[in-house]
Amino acid sequence: MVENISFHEEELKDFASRVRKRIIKATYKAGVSHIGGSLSVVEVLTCLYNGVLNINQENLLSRKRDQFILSKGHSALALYSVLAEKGFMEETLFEEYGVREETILGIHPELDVPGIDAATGSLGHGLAIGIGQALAFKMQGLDYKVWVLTGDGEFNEGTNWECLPLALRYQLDNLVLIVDRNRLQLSGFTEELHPLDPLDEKLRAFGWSVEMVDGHDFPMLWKLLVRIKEYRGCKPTVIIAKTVKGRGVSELENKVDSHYCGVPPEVAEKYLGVLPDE
Amino acid sequence: MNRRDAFQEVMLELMAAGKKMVCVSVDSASRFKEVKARYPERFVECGICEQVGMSVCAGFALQGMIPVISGYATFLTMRAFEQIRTDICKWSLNVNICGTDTGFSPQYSGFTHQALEDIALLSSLDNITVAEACDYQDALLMSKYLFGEVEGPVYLRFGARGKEWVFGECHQPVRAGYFEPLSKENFDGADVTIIALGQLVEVGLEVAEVLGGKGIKTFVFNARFVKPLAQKMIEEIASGSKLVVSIEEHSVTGGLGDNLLRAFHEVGRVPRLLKFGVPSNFGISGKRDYLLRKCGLSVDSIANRVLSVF
Repeated sequence: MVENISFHEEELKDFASRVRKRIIKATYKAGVSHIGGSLSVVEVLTCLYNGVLNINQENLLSRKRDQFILSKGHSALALYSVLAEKGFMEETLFEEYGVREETILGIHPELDVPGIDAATGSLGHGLAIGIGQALAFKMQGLDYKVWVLTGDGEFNEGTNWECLPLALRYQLDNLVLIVDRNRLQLSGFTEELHPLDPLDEKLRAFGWSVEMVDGHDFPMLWKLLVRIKEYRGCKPTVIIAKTVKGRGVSELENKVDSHYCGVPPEVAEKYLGVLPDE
Repeated sequence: MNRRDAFQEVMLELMAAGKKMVCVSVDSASRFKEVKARYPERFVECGICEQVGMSVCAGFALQGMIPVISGYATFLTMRAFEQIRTDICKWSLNVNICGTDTGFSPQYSGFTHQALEDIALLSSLDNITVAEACDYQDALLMSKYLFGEVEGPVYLRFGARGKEWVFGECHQPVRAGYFEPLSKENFDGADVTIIALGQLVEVGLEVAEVLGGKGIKTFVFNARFVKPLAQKMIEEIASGSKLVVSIEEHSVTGGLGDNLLRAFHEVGRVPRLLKFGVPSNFGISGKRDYLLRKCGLSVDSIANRVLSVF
């Protein structure tokens, strides 16, 4: 089961750097994207797609492998960037983002895109879909895991809370929820809008196994994700990944407006070296 | 035996044949009692969480299982409408939704529990099959066809507190999008063509008897399907009927009648149509028989109205 998961920090950092550049470039060309929440999940996705998930070119279109659900579907640009960087997505398709008149590569991920395991975009659906998949794996005797990534603002949606007792009851040790805790949502800071703290205590009270980690620290993140990958027991796991919205673009970091915005030419040039062709 | 037992029996049959059926309950386990007893590992209780239950079904279907979710139609179709639309119908996932206690079946539970707009809502979605059987035997045939042969989302509607009697000797086989002719084997034109849905098929047959007694040539269909509707059949009914009458225990807005009207319009031939249904989507607390009478859905009211215009 465990395969090809040795830790190479420099390689992961390089990969993440290339993913960030793709996000910045695509946003510049499209004029706008959900860039803030895309940049905050780069390290998490980088780890998942470089060994934590058992996904590769051969099993990309199969359902008999680990599943990944980007429940915060508006961050799809980050996922597309990772898929393209892995070679799972054709460059010509990636280039369609936000510029072609019609494309399957929307702001939110759809099942028509190879490598997308669940269509999301409406918040609060991903975890429940993931529970269905995790239950199916159990019924089918398949030892795969379902990884679901939600936003922290997304936890405003009551369906997430309805899912917590359900996953516990069925002892879904093959379900991993990662909360991108960047403390911002569309119109402001989570604690000012719809308070979530103490999130860890709340989730622990629901009986889940709760982990906290710096979502940008590769050594810590990798160690934790690999441990969870190997975990077999009786509890679902939630990882609260403490992140920074807009991470890696100082002009956007921890800013409300970074939820959905463009990248000015001078910023694009600063991070990409050269200004991309429009 | 009532019609609601039928889908459970069909599930057992399909599971015995190796189909990967799974029951998804939303605190509605009574609908799956036998399946749960025989295949406890194929039963999932989601609690009173219709939205989560529906998304769980989507997850099952993505992994190749065939989920059947059942509960009060009103909560399944309204509370979980977005999940049905976004997680299931958009992707034509193989999810079977059995909505129970439709129309006035919940009686004194009132408008919160009486599903009178479920067809209107779900028939607005692409890719889904919307159907209702007229009695227990019909529910067996319909469940077997819909669960076992239709690849894609299905909404099967179940009323209660009606008669579970059986037509003649046996029902005709199910054909996708086709109403079941009850008067004869095939439709060959009529003065009044009655298309009745589910529990009100019984009323439709009695109306036909009254009209027949007055020398009016009638033909009765057990609708079975609200969506899809076979184009060929719609054309035949449109051109072969002087008057079409639709009867349903659902709001007159967006139900069988409106779906028929749209289908007639699409084939470019719209016959005269009388829609009989509930005047509002908001139900009333009371006895089912009384409420049907109050809404003009008794045999006498329908027959008199038809006679007044024919």
